[in-house]
Amino acid sequence: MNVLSAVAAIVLGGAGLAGLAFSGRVASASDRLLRATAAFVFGLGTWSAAYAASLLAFGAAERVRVLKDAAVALGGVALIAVRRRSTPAPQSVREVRDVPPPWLAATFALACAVVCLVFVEHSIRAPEGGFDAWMIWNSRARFIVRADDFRIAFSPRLLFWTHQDYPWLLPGLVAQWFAIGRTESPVIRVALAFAFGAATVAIVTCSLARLRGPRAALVGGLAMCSIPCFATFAASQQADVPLAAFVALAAALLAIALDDPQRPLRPLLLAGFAAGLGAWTKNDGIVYLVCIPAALLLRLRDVRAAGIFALGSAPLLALLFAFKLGLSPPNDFLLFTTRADFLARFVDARRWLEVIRLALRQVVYFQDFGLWVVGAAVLAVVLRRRLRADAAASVLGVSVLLALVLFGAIYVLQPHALGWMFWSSASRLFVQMWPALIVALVAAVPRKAAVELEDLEGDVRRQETENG
Amino acid sequence: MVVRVSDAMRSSLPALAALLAVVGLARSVYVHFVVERPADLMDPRPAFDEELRPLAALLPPRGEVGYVTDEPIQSPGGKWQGPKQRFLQVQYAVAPVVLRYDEDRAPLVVVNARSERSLDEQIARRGLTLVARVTSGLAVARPK
Repeated sequence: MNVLSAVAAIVLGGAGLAGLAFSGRVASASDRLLRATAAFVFGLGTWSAAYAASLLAFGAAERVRVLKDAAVALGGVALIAVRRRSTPAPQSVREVRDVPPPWLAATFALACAVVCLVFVEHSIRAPEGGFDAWMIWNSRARFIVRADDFRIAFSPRLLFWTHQDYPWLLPGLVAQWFAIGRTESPVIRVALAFAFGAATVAIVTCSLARLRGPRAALVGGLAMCSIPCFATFAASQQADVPLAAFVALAAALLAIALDDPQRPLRPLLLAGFAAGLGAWTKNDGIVYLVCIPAALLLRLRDVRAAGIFALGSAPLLALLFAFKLGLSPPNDFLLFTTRADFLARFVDARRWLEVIRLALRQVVYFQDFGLWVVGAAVLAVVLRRRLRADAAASVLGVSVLLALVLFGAIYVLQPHALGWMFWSSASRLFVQMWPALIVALVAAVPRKAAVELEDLEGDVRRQETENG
Repeated sequence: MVVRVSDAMRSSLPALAALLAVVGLARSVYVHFVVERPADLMDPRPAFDEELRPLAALLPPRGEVGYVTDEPIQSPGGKWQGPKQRFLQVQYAVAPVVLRYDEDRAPLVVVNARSERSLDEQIARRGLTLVARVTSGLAVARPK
């Protein structure tokens, strides 16, 4: 019953949300894969967030977990029914016919194979995952599933280095499968890590296929797969790649909504929901939740779009507040910061300069990024006009810039040793925002004039068909 | 002219992306399958969780125990992460038991030291009695 109810909640809950996000008919195999991946990611995220809400509200009894699964599954069925009943939305999916060269497809296949091999290799060498995996995320899952009272996982009696205040989407997933399987097998943690890594690549690739065609999709997929740190971070069982998956989904839905002249509400709403799931994955996710609507306001002056996005994230923000206010977990930033310390760090020009210096060095950090960040920076300069002109690219690009500025400020103001903190976390922050940056940059690349003309003709034909 | 520049960029981007991908993938393959010897994968090191399982068996299933060490964990501002890492590995292994850092008056105390000699010194200096040794430098003790 437990396994069935869990699978039903993930599949139906995810299908309901993805069905709401993608209203047009399926245009291609990659579009079908995008929808399936979105359903999977939404399903996992919603299932875990609902688990946290049910724990906070009703406790840890097994029947509560099963009832929560039933509620998520029924919610998904209701969304599917609502979508079927509603008037079909105008077809907005343009199948971009732009045949990529075979060697590009072969390079992408090779990149996927290497990522899988490195993932397996890293998982064998470090079965407990990376430092943060056992220090924070899997440790939290163990506390939740093993303790008589799950609140111990967030107790101030624990040392602050366990970061009790971090949100727990990933621990919630791991803990539930531990409880369902009655085992703490590493296979559970590794499988979830792989699922989120694969989903991130699929979302970036398939959303670009839908937006700009298969050639752009393969370029985006290569950019995602072949940064050297991606496979190792995915295998590390930390929350950064799951957060990257939610940021990628939010970016993809936002780009789809902004690319459509009708600017549909549903993808915007679900983009907010995906970003909200990101905020429930890691505190860093709150930065993206703030930066995306800020970019909508700055670049498009679109209050309605920003409002819909914020509305979509509201359930997850409510959960985050319920957790932080209800359990009051200690936060090391606040624990070691007085008002005087805060002001001293803020006015210390050396700290700001140091962060800028470290960030510039990070651009050429070959071990983690190869030459991809240098390439992206050059492309951004070359495409600066297109980046401003294209609504989706502009909003996503500005979101990433704002996130960089905010993270820079957080580095300056946090209480730990600046150099150590930067080097232990900057690459992971970069992986979180890399999918959004790829979608922004690749979406800004001008399309072949003939392809654009063909698309326009296709739109006219479809419009004529719909008008009878 | 605009169309020609756009087409040039559009047609060269896949080749540039493939080039960057080959550089990144070559780095990954070199590190993960040349520098780190593939032969080691046949005989991976035991997970630290497995090594610490005997410790968890010596502790109660829930509640709090003390934790003392000869390498103090630095407060924020410090860079040396080794002692923190060792503490958190033990915390992970014994969850949901809560380790109370630097608490040597709890009914049971985990003593984690860099050597057997240092372990004995810690036990003597803190007025503890040895309950059981787990691995080299790691033991469970209680107050005298």
